[in-house]
Amino acid sequence: MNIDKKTVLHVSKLCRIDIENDLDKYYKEFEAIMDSVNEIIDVEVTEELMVVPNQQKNRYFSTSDLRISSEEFFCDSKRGFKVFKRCSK
Amino acid sequence: MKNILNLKLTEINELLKEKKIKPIDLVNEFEEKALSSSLNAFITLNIEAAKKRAIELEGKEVDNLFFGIPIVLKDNISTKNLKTTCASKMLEDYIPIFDANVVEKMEQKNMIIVGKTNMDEFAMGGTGETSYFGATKNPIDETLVPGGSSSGSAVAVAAGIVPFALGSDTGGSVRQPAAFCGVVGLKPTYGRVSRFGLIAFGSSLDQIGPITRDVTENAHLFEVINGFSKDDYTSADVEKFEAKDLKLNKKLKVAVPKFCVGENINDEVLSVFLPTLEKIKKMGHQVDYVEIPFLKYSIPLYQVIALAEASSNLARFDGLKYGYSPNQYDNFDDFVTKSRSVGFGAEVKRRMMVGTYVLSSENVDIYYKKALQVRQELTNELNSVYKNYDIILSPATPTAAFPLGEKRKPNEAFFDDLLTIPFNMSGHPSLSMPIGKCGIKPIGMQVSSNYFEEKKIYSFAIELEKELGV
Repeated sequence: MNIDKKTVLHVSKLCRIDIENDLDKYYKEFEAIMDSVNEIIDVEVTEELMVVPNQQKNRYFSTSDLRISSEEFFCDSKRGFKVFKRCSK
Repeated sequence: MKNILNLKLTEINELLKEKKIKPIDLVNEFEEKALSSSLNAFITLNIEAAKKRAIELEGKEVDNLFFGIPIVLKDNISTKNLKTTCASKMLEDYIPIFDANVVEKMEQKNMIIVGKTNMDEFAMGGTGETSYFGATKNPIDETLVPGGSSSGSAVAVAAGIVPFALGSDTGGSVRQPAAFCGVVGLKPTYGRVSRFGLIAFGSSLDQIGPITRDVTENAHLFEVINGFSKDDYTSADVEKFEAKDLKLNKKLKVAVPKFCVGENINDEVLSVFLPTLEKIKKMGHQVDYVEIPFLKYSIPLYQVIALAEASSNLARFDGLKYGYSPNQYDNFDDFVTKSRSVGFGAEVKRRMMVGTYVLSSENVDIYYKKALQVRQELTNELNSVYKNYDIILSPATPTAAFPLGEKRKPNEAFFDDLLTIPFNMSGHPSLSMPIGKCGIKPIGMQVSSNYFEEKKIYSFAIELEKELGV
């Protein structure tokens, strides 16, 4: 998939990172990484999703599990853990 | 008595038991070595608190091997009341209010935390050069990279400043610097060491691991830090590893993936690795070359999964409750953007943007979901090998240490972890140990086994270490 500068700028705004002064540099670097990432698009697979690689089977791991509100995590470790647990499926 | 820290752990322990030395002597020696070092291995030295702790320990009985022993921690492991910066401007002044689980475990053994080590920013990098606090240097030759991201931990041990360190490993960040610096590093089975208090990079990949001078001491430190933790929901509730009976009672069946001795691997590395394989055969072990086709997707897999998880994990750094806060801003959005634009370095920004892109609604199935499927295929292939073989051997890195500041394309930075990433993806344990040198450059071998079989890895590595005399 081809990436254009507009897309890279849009992604940077989603990340709340200002790259406008270095857009050309970041665009080239982004493009180089995506060239490599694209290698997996056409890989033939038979499996569905990855299971967490330890003994807690029967649950799938995705980054949606990791979304923790920023105000929670380091301020209160116990509350942070509860949030973490609540998000897990 | 001088250079006590260079003695074996058992010898230091004996001296402490016989009261020929005190814990404070060890802290003083560390201080002297750390302050005179030019390797930039440390971000924070914890000398005052360490001396206080050492003096408190003088009245206590030496009841375990690690009593009074100094250790340094990678600066992404949370330490209560001690700065934990992740080598980033974002967390330059961050002081955690709680200890990581591994820190609690070490304190139960009365170990003394003497410093926090330099690293690639937020553990993103393989050379030790992306730190906000400047590059770490390799003690073998200060013009070479020490590897990363646990650069300072590997360097501190290799330079003899301290005998023990902890690092963290998301794609090879313990094993790769261990290989470049000529020390021993373990990435444990995923879930065997609690991640509670480790500032997350890639949560499904991260593991804390020990870095030491030799294999036996590595096993002893691993015994201290492993074990179930209720505070980490991916912690594995399995029998605790104990560093005893580390002897092979049979000859092993050893698999060597053809990919790991193929065209991607530098001649310097192969010139040491291949003769070592011959020695292993002579030791009576059966060595077979095997095909693991999905190994070739390791780097794109890492680029999708690790960076996606990183973009999510690092979303919490917004400068509000912690992190760099700008003085001037127009509104909330501007505040957060300025915090993140100034607080993060280029490598971190680049990785977060790629991670956000592959997680966006229009791309999530194309990249992220597909990567999870490929990850499972790779894991299945590795599991198939372990049905027929005891261990998998490969070089730890595709190249030996290279010059600091070498101009590389962004994509090439991931290449250093080509051979270590697969075991983060699958969660299998994996150890890097020195097997010799090419010129002055240390070369590492990676020893991997099935889940929770660290004992088998250590037993084999101890036998090999003895045979090679390294």
